[in-house]
Amino acid sequence: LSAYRDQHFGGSMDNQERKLKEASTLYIGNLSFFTTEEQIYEVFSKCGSIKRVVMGLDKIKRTPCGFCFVEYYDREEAANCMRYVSGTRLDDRIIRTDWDVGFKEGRQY
Amino acid sequence: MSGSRRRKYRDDDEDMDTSHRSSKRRRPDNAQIEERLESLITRVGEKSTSSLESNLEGLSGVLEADLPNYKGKIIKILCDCAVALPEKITVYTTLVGLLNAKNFGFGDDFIIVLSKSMREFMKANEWSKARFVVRFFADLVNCHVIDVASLLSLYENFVAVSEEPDIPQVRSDWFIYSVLSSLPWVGCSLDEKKGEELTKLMKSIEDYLGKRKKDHVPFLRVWHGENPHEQQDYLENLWQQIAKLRRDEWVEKIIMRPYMAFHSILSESSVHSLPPFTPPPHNLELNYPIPKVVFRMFDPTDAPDGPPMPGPLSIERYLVEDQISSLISTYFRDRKDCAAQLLNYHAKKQIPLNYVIVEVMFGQLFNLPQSPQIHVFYMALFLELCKLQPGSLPQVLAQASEMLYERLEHMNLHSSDRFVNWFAHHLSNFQFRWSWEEWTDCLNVDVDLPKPKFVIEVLAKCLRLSYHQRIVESVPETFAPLVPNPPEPIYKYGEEGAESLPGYAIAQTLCDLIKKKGSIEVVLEVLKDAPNPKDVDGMEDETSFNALKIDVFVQVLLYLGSKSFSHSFGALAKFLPVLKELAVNEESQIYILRVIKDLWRNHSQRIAVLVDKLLRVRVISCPAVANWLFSSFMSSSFTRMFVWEILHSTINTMNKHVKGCETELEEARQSAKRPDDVDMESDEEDRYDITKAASESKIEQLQEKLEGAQSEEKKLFLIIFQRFVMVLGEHMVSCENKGEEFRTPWFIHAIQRLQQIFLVHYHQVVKYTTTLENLVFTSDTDPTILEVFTAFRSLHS
Repeated sequence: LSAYRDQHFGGSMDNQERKLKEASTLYIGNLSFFTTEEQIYEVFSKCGSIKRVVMGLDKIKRTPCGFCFVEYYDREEAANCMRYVSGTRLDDRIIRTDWDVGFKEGRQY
Repeated sequence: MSGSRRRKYRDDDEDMDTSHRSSKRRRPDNAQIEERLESLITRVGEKSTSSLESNLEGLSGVLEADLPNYKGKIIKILCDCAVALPEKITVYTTLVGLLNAKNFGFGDDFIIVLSKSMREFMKANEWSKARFVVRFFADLVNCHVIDVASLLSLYENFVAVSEEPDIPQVRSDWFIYSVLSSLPWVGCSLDEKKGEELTKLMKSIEDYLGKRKKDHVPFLRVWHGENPHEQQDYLENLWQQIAKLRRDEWVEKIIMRPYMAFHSILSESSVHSLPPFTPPPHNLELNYPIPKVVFRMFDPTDAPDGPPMPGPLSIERYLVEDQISSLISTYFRDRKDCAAQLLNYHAKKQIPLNYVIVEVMFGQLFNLPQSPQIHVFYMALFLELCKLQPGSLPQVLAQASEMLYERLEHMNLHSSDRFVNWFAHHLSNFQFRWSWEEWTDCLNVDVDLPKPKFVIEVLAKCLRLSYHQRIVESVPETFAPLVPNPPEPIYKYGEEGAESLPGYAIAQTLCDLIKKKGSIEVVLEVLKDAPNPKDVDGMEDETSFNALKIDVFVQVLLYLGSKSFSHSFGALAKFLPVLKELAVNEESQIYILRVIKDLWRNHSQRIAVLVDKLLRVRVISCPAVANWLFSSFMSSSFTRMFVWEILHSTINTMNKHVKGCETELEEARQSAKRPDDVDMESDEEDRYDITKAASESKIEQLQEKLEGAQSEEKKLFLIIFQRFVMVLGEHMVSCENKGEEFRTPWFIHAIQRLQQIFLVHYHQVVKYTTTLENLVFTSDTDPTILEVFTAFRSLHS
């Protein structure tokens, strides 16, 4: 696990740690505002089958704002993504991936 | 997303940390010492300020002191290192040698434990670990731990396996390979002390190789034919390398042998005999490694500067490749560490290291049937290597890409798919810069030929990783014919002249309704009005389903949800009941797929994700997808990569479903076995019976579900193979009638796609070998097609 923690997580630290160790969702950061869901699918499905992609949106304008969540079917697929896609380029930007406890409605803003 | 969310832990964790530490301080327990021993042992041989020899001497002193209390633990750690860090084999054999010299009992125990684990590895089908043990034993002869005669008798028992009756060739292969691959370490000692016996042993191996079948070789070659390098069978190649090594009096320049420095200490220690070892007899549980073909792309002229590339028949080439592969399999989880380890490889003064690394990595990426690691790993590792060696590695990689492109005509299609995916992804990390002008030879030739096909597929993948305008701008104008169309939907009822289409009015109504968030019932009501014209798009006598209904609904729904994948998925989810009602049988499911292809003909990725979604929500079945891909609607795309990606992903989905059913059933059976949450007191017995009956009926249901899934999987494979035999056969007949050669680019492509099914889904297809032999690949099948099946069978014979 990396140092990143969601500060809005509404539970105890232990609970968050436990969930992170079982998670198969990743938080993806440093995306270009123009990067599309299609591109995300293309790059991230190189590590396994994707269950869901949720684009991060600007609270007010409802436009992509540089992050997203990618959920895989298996944790091992997400682990491969941490190993081999984190730190590579998409739309010429170095993307960063981190473990996430799993997407909940509202977190895309 | 603000920076604050990424803040590190606060102080409460530090408290936890200190309390943890102080408790440790209070009781310096065994675990702590064991941990320290483990770290000392695993790290020896890494980069250090002092010499390897002095580190080994120091470590053996430390371990000797701990032997009275921690012998078992030390032996276990060393045995683990012997198989987990094979690239450091001689470091550990030397260490074991030094410990044996100090403590005779240790050597004896060590050998017994390692010998036991070799047997366990074999029983558990961990063949590469077992091979590392054999090599470790061999090198222990050099360290005066094991006596030559007992190693020789182990070898003889191994070679004797090849004489066993009624065993698969892959079994004998493994035992022969283990002996041959350990000879570079111990050949010299053997020759010196047991020259005659060694000659005999080599003779038996040579005899075995002479009668060995090699039908699998063309099936596993990355390149067909021999240009410019022959892709040899792995045993054959190693045999020639060993034979040459023997002629060179067992002198090689690659293996680092730290024990040479300790000659005086080691030569005084007494040697042990290996416990007698008979290989576990063959049974159906044992799955031996499938044969390999050696990948070759470079020769000495390709790397003009620096040390020369060892020739393909020299043992140096084998040793270097084997050690680079070991490094990759030890460090693959951390690509940065992996790259650093590769570039630090100890023998780099004697070889052109960058070339060897690039060759080994492409060899792994293109390996058939599967590559050892997931494909994206190789892309990531290449990036890391380019970062660490920016002045030299990118050039080698570009040179390799040029060579791979030049040899595309001979390249196995399955490997060239991986080449496409790697190359496009790699380019996307380098601003899509490439000197396309060098490849203008792919223009103005038949687009079905491998070179233009490669460029078309690469650009299609680049498009998926970026956007249309970007790709248009990154290639020269002359490449425009190979650039994909903009990935826009083609909405039939919105085009000029659409008014005259039979479903136009309904499409308009439906469109308005869905935009106004109309309910499912209302939508179904509108669709009821769709006439069932028997002549829509040439469909004849269609009674089972209404093609127009499907056409209008799917066109409108997907067009309205065309903005993004999420919009499409949302639309499908919302109108799932309508889709399920329309997809009543396989024909209508195929028709749904046909409409999707029609609308999204310029966006293959969208087609793929939609098919995947529809499969998962069970609107369409896997066999329907297979039948659709082989149908005439798809024939114009038959040789495109996306078609085969969809097929393979469909097979994988099917397989996962079967495995899911298996797990479910197994879990239900386990929980039925131990009714621990039920009170077994007499008055509760009735309730227990009820629970038991309920779980039994649940098991029955799950059993049925599993059988259903298994038969669907079997059906899927049968359809695929039957359709393949049909299309290939039809092509051959029509060529014969026209008096033309049947081996057209299309045919070569198609037959390799058939081969690909066998390769990629090897483990599933193996189960159906007999069925396929009786139903599909019979003696009536054309020999050219049958050849693929025969080669597949030779992989496990």
